[in-house]
Amino acid sequence: MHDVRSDGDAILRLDNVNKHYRRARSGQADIIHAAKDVSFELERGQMASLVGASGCGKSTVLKMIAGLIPPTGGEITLRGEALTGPNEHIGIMFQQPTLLPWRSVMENVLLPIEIREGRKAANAARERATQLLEMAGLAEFASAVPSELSGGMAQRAAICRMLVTQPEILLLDEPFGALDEFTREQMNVEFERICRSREATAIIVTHSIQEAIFLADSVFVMSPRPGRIVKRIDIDLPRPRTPDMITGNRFNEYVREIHDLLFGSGEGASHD
Amino acid sequence: MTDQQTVDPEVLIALAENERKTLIERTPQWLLVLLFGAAVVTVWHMAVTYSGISQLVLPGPYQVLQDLIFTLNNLFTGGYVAHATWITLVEVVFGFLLASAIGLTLGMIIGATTFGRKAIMPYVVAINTMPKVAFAPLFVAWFGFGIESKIMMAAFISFFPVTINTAAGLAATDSNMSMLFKSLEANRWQTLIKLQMPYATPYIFAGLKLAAVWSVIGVVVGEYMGGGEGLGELVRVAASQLRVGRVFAQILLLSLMGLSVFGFVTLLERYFVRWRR
Ligand SMILES: Nc1ncnc2c1ncn2[C@@H]1O[C@H](COP(=O)(O)OP(=O)(O)OP(=O)(O)O)[C@@H](O)[C@H]1O
Ligand SMILES: [Mg+2]
Repeated sequence: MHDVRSDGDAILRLDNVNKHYRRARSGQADIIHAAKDVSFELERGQMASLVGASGCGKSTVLKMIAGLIPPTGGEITLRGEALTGPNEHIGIMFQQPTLLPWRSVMENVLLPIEIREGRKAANAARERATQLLEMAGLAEFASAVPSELSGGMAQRAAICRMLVTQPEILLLDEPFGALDEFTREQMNVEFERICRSREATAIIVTHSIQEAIFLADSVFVMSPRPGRIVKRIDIDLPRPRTPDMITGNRFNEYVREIHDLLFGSGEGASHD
Repeated sequence: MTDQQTVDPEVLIALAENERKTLIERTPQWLLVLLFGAAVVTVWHMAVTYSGISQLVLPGPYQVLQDLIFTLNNLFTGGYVAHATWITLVEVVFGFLLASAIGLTLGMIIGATTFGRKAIMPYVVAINTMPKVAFAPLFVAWFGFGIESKIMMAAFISFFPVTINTAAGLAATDSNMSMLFKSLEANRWQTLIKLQMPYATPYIFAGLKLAAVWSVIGVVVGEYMGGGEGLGELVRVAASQLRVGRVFAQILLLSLMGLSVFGFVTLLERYFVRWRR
């Protein structure tokens, strides 16, 4: 497990990671700096959330960690080894559910296994998939096709698909965005439980400050483009988290701190 | 399913109000089709009767009906029309199958490989801009007067829509879904079979439907040029004898044939693309 290069138990480490995009079609000098000098490290089992304004580069950071797009600077290391592309230890859930419309929900959930290990293994994993669907409240929709699902149900199915291969690192891009407040809270509790039981490391991108705090050991606050991490806020709340914490004082102090970082404390908006 | 057992009568009235339609909207389609057809036939009959056009040039509806009955009678009693229909059907089906095979293969090469898209695509487009019918005499020279030349002509004329639609469908794959497959480390073949091809099926079927219609055209052109024993040859002979009614009847058979192949492809499409509703 221990590696000479990595300090401590860091399973994932980003070192001054940058991403520039070239904007298609327009002039050759038109380059967008989407992520700037992003550095952080996570230990095994840690959960982190990433918050920031729309377009600040959150999805970009997740996609780089998933090995889907190469950084234009810096390095990402997984257990001390440089990351060069997608790998089985990292599961990502995209901002859109991206379920294949010609497959049933069950077949969609089994897709990662089917691709990595073949059809036989996928069939053998049906029971595990069923359990996940039950957890997500989708058991009776296993044979439904995606067009029969609501937006929130599709997102939940996509979460099941990510979890089915039991990756060590989970990357979630606004996973509960299309859910109502109530279901969202349930899913948060459930998701935390799963991560803890698997000792999974997770990064959750979210637009909800409450959700960011509720799920995370550390909240990373990003600046508008070019997205940098302006602050890492460690959340000192006991685990497992419970819904009643959300109304607690400590929780609300965190909310205020993150809110001020995101929207500025002095300017206009919040007068006490 | 109803939400409640007892529905407020006022709701029903309001619903009926919302759903009120015009007379035309309420008339069943088959009746409208029949009415319009009858109108056209009446105009046709009037035109032939009162304009003084020779029956040799444009026969009236009654004459055509007689020719149609003769042709159908011959077809179902196993006469020469039956033989010709069979020959042409074989040519159409094989021409269509060949076009589908060529179109799918070429389309996959063009749609799934950069080399195909950059190097092969321009040639396919160039071929398509040619008046392909003009090649018919060459096909007779190359493949003879048998059914082979007609099959080749049909395939040549109709492989293009399948090619282009397959290629376009493969290229249209949702970029998020491609990302998903990339994150699962799917290889190229898996991505093609499990993602790109299913995604492209609606496109492919649009191409196949065009090909179904075009292969009938290809076969008829082949038969006009290269003779043989098919329906196209019958049409050519009947026209040269100025038996216009017969020509109409035989052309009707040809279009029924095109319609059957088209209908068969539509059935397949319903099965394969049912996820799209
Ligand atoms: N493939 C791309 N090509 C060019 N520019 C891109 C590409 N993807 C993202 N960008 C740009 O990079 C910036 C960051 O995008 P990103 O999707 O990471 O934002 P985000 O923080 O996830 O936003 P949101 O919260 O709205 O999802 C945006 O300005 C976007 O326009
Ligand atoms: Mg995003």
